[in-house]
Amino acid sequence: MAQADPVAVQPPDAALIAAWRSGDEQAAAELVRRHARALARFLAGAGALEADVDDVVQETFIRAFRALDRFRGQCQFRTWLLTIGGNVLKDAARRAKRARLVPLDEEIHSPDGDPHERTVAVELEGRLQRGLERLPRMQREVFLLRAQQGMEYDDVAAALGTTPGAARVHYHHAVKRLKEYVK
Amino acid sequence: MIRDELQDGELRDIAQRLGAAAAERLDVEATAHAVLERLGEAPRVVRPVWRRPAWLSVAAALLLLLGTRIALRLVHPNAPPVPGSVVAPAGMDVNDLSPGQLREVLRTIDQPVDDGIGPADAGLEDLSAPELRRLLRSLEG
Repeated sequence: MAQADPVAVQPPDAALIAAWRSGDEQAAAELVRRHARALARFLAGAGALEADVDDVVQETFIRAFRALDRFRGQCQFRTWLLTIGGNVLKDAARRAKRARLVPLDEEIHSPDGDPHERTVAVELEGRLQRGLERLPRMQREVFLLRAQQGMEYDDVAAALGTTPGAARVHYHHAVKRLKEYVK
Repeated sequence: MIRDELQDGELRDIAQRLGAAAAERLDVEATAHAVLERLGEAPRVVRPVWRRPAWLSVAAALLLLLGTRIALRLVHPNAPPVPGSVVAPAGMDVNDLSPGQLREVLRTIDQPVDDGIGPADAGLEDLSAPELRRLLRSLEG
């Protein structure tokens, strides 16, 4: 009978942050490995151009590490990182004034699944993304942190500087409006 | 065909698929490497935190005390000595006082004192007899 490999104990984010603060560069690399994909999903969902996601992810990490002294553990590191990503994206869009949605045809070429179902799914994603772009920033970020990243309202609220109750209200407004866009 | 009705769960499912392709395409190792490289280009700025040394507070208090005495003497040149001022026992030199007597004299000054002798946060009990004499002389002017 095959034995399961012992699961390597992953140091928590807080330990990696402390290690980075004391000069361990590999701790920073590990934090990037741990959170880069979630950050990329969030940024793409929030309207980052496909071609820009890599750059925005990098810039977000740079800003985060440089501002790490201000991170007091008020929320999860990932939540904090995603909100920085939202700021980086906003700044980039303001500078370039060219934030746009991922073109549908880039996704339609995916070979996975039934072509018809895939086309419908891609169309739904495109509608959702267009809807997200029309939402106020707070509603958009609350929705993505909650629905896409699966975070609790307490954590969302701490990251965005609001209350859990207000975050809940933003989420419900976002859902109501997005349903209109997507249906 | 896209249905007219959309449930919350379905909306969440769609949201969770958003950006999945971008995330898959991201080269995480290359990103980590690039981030470290960029962080290395600009060394971390350690913001200096200025802490007021204890001796500075003591020196300020001492200066205030001496200033007050000088002002009082200017306003009332013939006034009797201010209670609490440094008075060594009559006919005795500072050199003749024992450490206990020196501490007693210094305690009559109801102010923290320090002239840079010993550690900034040292109390009177921590000072040796020569240090106490030097301190007392500095207070006598």
